[in-house]
Amino acid sequence: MKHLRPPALEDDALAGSLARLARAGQDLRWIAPADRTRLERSTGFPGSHLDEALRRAFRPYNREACRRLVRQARPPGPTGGDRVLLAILAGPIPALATGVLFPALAARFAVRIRPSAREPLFARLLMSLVAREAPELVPSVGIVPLRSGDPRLDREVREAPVVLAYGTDDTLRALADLRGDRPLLGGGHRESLVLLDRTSLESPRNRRRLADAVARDVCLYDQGGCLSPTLLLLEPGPETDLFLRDLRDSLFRAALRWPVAPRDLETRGFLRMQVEALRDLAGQAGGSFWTPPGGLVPAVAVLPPGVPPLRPSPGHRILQVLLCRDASDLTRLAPDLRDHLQGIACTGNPSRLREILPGPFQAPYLCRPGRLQAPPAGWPENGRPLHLALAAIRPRLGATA
Amino acid sequence: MIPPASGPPLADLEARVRAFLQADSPDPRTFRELLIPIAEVQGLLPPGARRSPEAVRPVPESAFKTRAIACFDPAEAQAEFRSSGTTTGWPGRHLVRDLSLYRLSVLGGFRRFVLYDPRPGFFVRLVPEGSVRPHSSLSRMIDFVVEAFAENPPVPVRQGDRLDLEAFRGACARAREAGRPLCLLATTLDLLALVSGLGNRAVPLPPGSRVMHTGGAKASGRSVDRAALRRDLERLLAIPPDDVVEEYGMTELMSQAYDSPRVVPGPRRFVPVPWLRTRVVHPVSLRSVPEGRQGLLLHLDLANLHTAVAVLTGDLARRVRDGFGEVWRVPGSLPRGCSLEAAKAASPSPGIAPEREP
Repeated sequence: MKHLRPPALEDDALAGSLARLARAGQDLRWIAPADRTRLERSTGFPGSHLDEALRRAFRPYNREACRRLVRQARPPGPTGGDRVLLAILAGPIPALATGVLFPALAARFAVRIRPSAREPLFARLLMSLVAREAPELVPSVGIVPLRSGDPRLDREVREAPVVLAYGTDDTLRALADLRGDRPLLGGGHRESLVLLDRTSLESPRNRRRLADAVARDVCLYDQGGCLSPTLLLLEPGPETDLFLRDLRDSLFRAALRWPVAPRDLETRGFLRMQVEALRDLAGQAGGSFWTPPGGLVPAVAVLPPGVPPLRPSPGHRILQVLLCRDASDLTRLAPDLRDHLQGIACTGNPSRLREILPGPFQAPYLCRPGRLQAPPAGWPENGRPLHLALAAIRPRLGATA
Repeated sequence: MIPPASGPPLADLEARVRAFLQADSPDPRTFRELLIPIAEVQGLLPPGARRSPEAVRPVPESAFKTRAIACFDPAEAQAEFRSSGTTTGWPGRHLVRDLSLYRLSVLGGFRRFVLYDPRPGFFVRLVPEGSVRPHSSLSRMIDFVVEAFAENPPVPVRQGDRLDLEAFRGACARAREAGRPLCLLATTLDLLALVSGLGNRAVPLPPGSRVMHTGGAKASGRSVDRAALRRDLERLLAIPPDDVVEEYGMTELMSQAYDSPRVVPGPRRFVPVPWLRTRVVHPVSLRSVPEGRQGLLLHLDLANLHTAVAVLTGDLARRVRDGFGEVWRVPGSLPRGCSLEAAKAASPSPGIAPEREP
């Protein structure tokens, strides 16, 4: 494995390098056509969907944001060889890789990325972009091309100065066992939701705007990210019915705008079972269910009172709607979201959620509808911004990369 | 609970269903004549829909987990069969209004597909008794089979979660001495445990002996090499591959399909009993797939008269002639199946009872 060392640049130079990298990343010509085709296949996001996913991966890291990250995470003294982060990624979303690379480099950590087995290509392309646009950072980045179960990966996990990992709760538990008392960042399964109050749905224009915003958050990345809303909480009322009609239209349009690769038989089978389960649940009094003609998704299931949502959420653009009077009902309606919330998009004042919801139901990221998939650089993923979490790790004397 | 809709009373239909189940050569047209009114009574054929089997709206198997599927007062159920649901702690429940209908279906299927000549004189069950597992549809099924067809009391080979290999060898010896075929009834995982426990010590059975196993690939997500299992059974028990019958069933159904080469020649496949029709359907359109293609299994089971005559499962399979094969669970669906009951016995292997000294 390549020996990495943390970025040895002054603040301004480091922020400049990062911003230059992000700017280059947003000009999608940096990916060769053949690589792009392969990336469409491996991510499952073809055409305009991949364009959007790539732009969103780099957009947060403008010059101002990079300066802020570097300043906030500035280490107190000289950096040493123990500032190496091993990042174990999960899933096909490009923003996951950049969401590690930029904050970690800003915190003057070298980064070794172990891409997800499902989508290993983007991380490799990202390394080539670094080599082209910010060669001064090349000594600080690398790839770990080892598969799960490879004893060499276990050794890497055990010995890396710091590990950041995403994956299932079980994966995280297994990694924690390997790490012992050494620093392990990241988190297991997380979901997000949207809360809309009734007054925000009174005006037809607002309803359409909110429907578009929710549909965007749902459809991007095929509802596969921790910031993808899987639940929508609404107050019952005539405006709500009108909003749901708008939402169906918006979801249909968003699904066309951001297509996904053809799903395999097993995924289609899974989706059919989830759709039928929700159709059955929503078919009881007070519920409703919608899928587009001739298709399974996007789907909207309004669950009748007292019917719990399917957990874990099916994903793939299936939105479950719960009707409730108050946000605090969340604890009763979806109790197993406890400690599993990543983001909440809401109308009104988001800070009121801090007062209404008990701690385990607080989401680290609060935003307006339509902004769930656009978190700013340095957002508090899993409760703490990565660059600050890294900055807080005290170096181990004598450790090496 | 499914609210009874318009149509002939279920009692009228039940008499006709029972007659259909008991017929030696049931008229296939009668299936459709029964299916449509049953679906109407169960509310599975929306008003105004075409009166065809394709128009029947199936109940997803998940519905058995979330609500009582019954066209009768659930308090009147004679039995409640439960699927494993071990991961969620939320098992599927099949409320059985009349066990005699289940018995009729079970015996009719077993007689057709397993009791071919020469008829077995001995039965060995590795599946626990219904008295031990009152909510297991498989245990109850084997109870019915043994009560109806066993000439000798079945040998108790199972002791809790363990298999008593010595008792099994004793039963095999008695069958050999009597020169009568033996029928071994087991879950697939139990069979694997048995094979593992026997090691290389063969106990050949008389010609005509057979195995009926069930659960297969649905068991706990563990893949089962059927060809290897059949080879092992031939090597250890002298049972030819064609006498290894596999049953496909599920808690949510009152009827079964069988892969029984002696009865249904040709490529190995599950063929349903005449009162169960299984369609392999495209997951999106729910239309039947062409021969050789894969899809979800959608069952139309007349014996589900009191619950849901059409059930859409999370099983994927390939359409093969008049049946289906290569069954596996939709990923993301919970591992399930009767074999789960035996998982403890099969893995780890210490579940096998230690050999007694001769």
